[in-house]
Amino acid sequence: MSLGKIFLGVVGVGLVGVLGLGGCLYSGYNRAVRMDEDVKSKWAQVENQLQRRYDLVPNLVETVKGVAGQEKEVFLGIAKARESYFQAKESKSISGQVLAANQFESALSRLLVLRETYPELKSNQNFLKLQDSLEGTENRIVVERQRFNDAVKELNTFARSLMGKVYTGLARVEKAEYFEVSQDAKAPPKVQFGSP
Amino acid sequence: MSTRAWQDSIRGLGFLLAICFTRVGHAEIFISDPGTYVVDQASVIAAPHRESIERLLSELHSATSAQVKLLTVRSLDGEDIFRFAQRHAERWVLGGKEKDNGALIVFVPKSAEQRGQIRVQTGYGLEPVLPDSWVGSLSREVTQSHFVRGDYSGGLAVMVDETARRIAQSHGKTLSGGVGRLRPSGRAQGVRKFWGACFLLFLFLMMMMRAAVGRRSSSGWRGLGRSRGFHGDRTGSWLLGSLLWSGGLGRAFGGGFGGRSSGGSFGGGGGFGGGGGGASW
Repeated sequence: MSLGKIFLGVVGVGLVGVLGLGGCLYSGYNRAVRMDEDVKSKWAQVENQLQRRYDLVPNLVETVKGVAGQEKEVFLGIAKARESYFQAKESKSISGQVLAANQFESALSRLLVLRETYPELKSNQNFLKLQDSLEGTENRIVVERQRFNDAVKELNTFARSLMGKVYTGLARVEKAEYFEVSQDAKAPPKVQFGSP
Repeated sequence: MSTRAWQDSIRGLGFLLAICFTRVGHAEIFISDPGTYVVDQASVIAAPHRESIERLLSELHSATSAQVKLLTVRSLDGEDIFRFAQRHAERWVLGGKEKDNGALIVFVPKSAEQRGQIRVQTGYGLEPVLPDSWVGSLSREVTQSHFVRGDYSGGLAVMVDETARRIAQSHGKTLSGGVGRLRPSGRAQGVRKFWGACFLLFLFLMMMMRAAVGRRSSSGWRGLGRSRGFHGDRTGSWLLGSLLWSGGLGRAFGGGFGGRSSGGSFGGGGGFGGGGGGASW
């Protein structure tokens, strides 16, 4: 074999190698971007449901106030939790929003405990309907949160893998935070308010 | 090592592997979609109700593309009904791909181990049509009027009826089947009855014609001992009989002929966001 042929062979192999590497980088980069977008869109879904929950709350509170007006502490707790959520949202802090959302759950459970103290709430049609809507929203939050966490898991697992580190670095994609449910949330994760 | 020792260690290893791969704790129940609209695992639905529900949901599906199914189970095995319904609704993939027009009604009869429960899981597409508060109210109402008294079959028929009607109404359609506490009123029915009557008249005329033709050919065949001529007559009266028996004059022009297929479970889509409502007793 002549030197020229060997040279060509090496160049050929080199070219294939470069192309292969390029292909890997290309698909890895895309994958990182795709996962990041998935996490972002799933978070948007979670935010939608959270927003819906906070929109429903004032009505619910008004209905309860009509019956149990003197329980000021409970209403204050709810108002505060709502406030802190919107603040966190303003500052675009996901972890802040998560914290506020979890705080809200314990405030909400305190509101619902009032049903025992004021049983007339249970026969108030308005209250029952609002309760249904709120329960529905809480359930939706559970579902969207699960989907969000699944997407975060995928992204984080990828970002921690050997080649994934490279790709996410290239694409400037960062690991995401899970939507952890706080351990001291009094309300059970699967919400079922209305058992007679 | 001796052969004996090898055998023992292999057995030990096998045992270890078996443990590693065995799931501890009970597996989640999953009931696969058999294709019908009514999946009565708990056997609480009486035959006539099952048929009418099946027909109603089939009609709903063809008229509005909304795919609603009813699933009854004896036991949730300790699982929360929301989770159970959500799991099944997602995997059964109900509702058209673009519209996510599906809903799953899950029912568990009251027993020694658990409360009786009803849950309607609505897909994204049906959430505006079946708001949580409406579903909750309906569930409570039917629970009080039927389920607490043990009338599971009748109660389920009413639930499906109300749900289907509401969905149809949102699409501007009325359904002809079902149990119906509220009958759709007005022109739609009147028009159906008119065309139904025309159809019957047509059939009657066909029968007369067939009979006339039949008689002529039967006399020709008599020599061979076959009375083929009467077939036309019999076919006509069979058709007429079955129409009358199925009870829907309008059905001849309604979904009846087209919608005979079983519940389509292979549609794509089926996004369920966790919406819906229910009740327990």
